[in-house]
Amino acid sequence: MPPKRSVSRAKKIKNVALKRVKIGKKAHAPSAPVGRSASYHRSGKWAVKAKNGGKFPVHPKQKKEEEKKTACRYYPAEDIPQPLRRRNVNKAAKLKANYAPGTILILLSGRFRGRRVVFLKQLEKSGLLLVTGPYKYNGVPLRRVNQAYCIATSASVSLDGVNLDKFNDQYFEKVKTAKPKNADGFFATDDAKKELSPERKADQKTVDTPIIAAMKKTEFLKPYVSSRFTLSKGQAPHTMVF
Amino acid sequence: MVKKKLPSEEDRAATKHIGNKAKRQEVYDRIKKQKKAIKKAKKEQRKKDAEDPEKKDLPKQVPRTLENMREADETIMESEDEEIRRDEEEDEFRKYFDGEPPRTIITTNNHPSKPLIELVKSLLVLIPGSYYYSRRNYNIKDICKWAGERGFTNLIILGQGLQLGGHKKLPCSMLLIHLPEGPTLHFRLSSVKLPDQIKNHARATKHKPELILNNFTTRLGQRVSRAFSSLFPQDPQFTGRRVVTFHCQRDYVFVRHHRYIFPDDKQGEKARLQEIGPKFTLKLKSMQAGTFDSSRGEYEWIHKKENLGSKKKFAL
Repeated sequence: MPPKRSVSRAKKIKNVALKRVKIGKKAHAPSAPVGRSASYHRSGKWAVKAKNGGKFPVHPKQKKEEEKKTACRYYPAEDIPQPLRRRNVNKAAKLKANYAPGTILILLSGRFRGRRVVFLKQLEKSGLLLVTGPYKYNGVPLRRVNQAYCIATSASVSLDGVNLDKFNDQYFEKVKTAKPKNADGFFATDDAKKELSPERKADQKTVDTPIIAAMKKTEFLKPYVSSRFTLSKGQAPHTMVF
Repeated sequence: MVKKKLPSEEDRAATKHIGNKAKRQEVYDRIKKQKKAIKKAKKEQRKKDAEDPEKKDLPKQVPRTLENMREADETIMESEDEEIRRDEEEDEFRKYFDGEPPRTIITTNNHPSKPLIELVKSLLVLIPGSYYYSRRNYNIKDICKWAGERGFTNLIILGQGLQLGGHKKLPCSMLLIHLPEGPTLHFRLSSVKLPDQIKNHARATKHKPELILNNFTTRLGQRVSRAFSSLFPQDPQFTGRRVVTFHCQRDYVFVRHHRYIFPDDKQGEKARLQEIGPKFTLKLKSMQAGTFDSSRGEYEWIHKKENLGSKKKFAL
């Protein structure tokens, strides 16, 4: 048995129709002329035609250069799979409203989860956020993070005197050394610890120095940044004000 | 649902001549009842006999198991055979039995999951002289070649798969390749318990373990057991009281790792055992002559139901 309807089907259809009328374009004023010729007149196409000698202007068709390949006389016996064209372009994410350079963020994922870091800028290509610990305070180096995995706090630091021109996505790209596909490659062990380049170390210092200086001016900012964000029993993050 | 037992041929024949269905059933039931009573009486008699001190010497009844009903295999080795001994002297494992120390590479499939890596770790403890190299998409054939050239004597490749109804990739296969000449043994790997999962487990020392190879009776079984023994050093250190067991039963090989101790005060008593782990079960799926070659390799033996033909036939 079908469920009991509170409103009859006919009435429902009528309601939907009424709603559509409400949502749709405003009805013409009753005084406006109705009819095919009148609507043609209103469209203004006649004016464009009059301007161009009674015809719509058309872009001249560009002739494709004929390919010089010798055409195959037969269709291939088997289907040759053609990859689909990819039309999607990865756009950088928009910066959330409460994120501004100098804001202190709480990282929620990755190796440094729970750490409070200073947001420096958004990188153009990937849309990732450039952050720094500062390294001296909490061990977080200059690194990129995804803003979806951060919480912006109301605390902030001034970034006066911090030059960030150098940093883009390319700066963080890893150089991959391909191992040879031979016996030496298989038996090779990655025991050697990777050393951080002196250039990176210097960059960390130049960025961090003015930030640390600025942080010293505000009381409790240093212990705030060097401590970890944690949740204990009964604390619900969605009820918190950061 | 209780499965109803079908009437036996004999019972049916006894009542077949009766045309009336109700009468036939009545007679049939009576026969059944009588049989049941006889069976019960026998059972009670047996029980009484067991308690009776006078009848203690009566032969004990032996339950029928697949082991004692096993169908004879022409390759089951009864005793030392000159021909087999000569064969074994010339097989691929001869170098090991001449005293060449074993060196084993343990690796996995291309992208091992965590449980598999954990198993590798425990196998590295189990097998002395074993080394782990990560697979990194290298070809098995290449690895066999290179490892043979570098003087490794065994290659173990562990595989993983989804278990029925599961979503986690767990260890499920083991390829044991003897180098440089083969053979290649492919096992199904199941019932894996890592040391951490074994209650009250001991920790392994670095002593070379003793080896127990149990119940490998046929020629094929003997070859498999030789492959297992070639994984372990020939000179166990008895002070370590460490023992690795490969117990074969109904074609399943149960692998266990224990530490034992003979209690000093009670002479002649059983040794006390403490499990070290890991423990797992292997089932031979195929044996290939030579090193791994899935396309052109020559199989010495492949597990197939029709090859055995009977439930009471076992290959190892």
